[in-house]
Amino acid sequence: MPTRDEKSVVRIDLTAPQREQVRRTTGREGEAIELTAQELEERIAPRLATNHNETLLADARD
Amino acid sequence: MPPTPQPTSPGALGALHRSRGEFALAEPLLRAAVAAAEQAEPRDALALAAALNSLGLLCKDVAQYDEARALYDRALALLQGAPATDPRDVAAVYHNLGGIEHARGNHAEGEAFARRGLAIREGIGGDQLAIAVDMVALAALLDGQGKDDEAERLYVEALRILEADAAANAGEIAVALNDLGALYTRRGELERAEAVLVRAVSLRKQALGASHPDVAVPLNNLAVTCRRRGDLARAAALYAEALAICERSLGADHPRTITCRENAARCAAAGSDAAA
Repeated sequence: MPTRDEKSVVRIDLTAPQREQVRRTTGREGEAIELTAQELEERIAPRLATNHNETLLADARD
Repeated sequence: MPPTPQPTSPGALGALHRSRGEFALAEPLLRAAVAAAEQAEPRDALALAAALNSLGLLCKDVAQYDEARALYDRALALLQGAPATDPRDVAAVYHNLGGIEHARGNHAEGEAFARRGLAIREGIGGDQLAIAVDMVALAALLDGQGKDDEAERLYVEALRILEADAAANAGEIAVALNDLGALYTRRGELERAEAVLVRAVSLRKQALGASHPDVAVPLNNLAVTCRRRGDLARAAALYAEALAICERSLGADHPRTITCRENAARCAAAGSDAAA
């Protein structure tokens, strides 16, 4: 569960060349990227992902 | 509104395709990410371990279990040999090793891995979401061995943690509900099972879309429950839906597809017997 600090928003202001790159790549205008601290960590130092152990029932006639 | 960053690296794009169930698109990207990490100079052991782990997840999805196991073993060795390893990553690989043994039906071997991963997480503390996810994975391995009491306790405790932020954790809640519902069905507690599995199907469809391969699992389990309750028509419809998803997304020979097909055939045979 994210802590309060991890939910606080980090704002990264883009330089003019970065704004232009974003506009060319996505077609969207933006002056900044805002991420929570948790989201930022997930992007700059992502943790290894895990799988799910999902039970799949095989039906037997009873 | 600031732009949302989109993945551009092969590994990140491959992971995105995998999350959508687009396994054929994901595979070449994830293999390219491993190749790039292996060829990097100087080699970054942690980056290579991450790439191997991501490819291992995909190999499990497509039932290439031996390859997945070898990838995880290699990732774990790299992590254990690197000085700056984050213990959360070691815990993740143990979790995934348990997952492979779950898929292969080696539940006791998987239990040992899952307990190790959970112990690491609990030793670090703090990340209750990750602990809950590990609890569910361990519980499924215990369920496979008939260790019902501990499995149920873990499912219930994990759901208590996950439900604290139900919207954010909907995907993990769906997994826990699917597995808990399957346990109830196996024990013959069919009314409880049905309620839990109906919610699992609903959450899965909302989060992933109705045709995602992961929707087929709770659909199949709900069908089993309906068949055992004697509602053959509903069971047949649910099996048909699950089987169509599996055949389209996983292929005719995937173990999940085979189980759904055999279940559907048994249901049809039961219907014929009842009509005779």
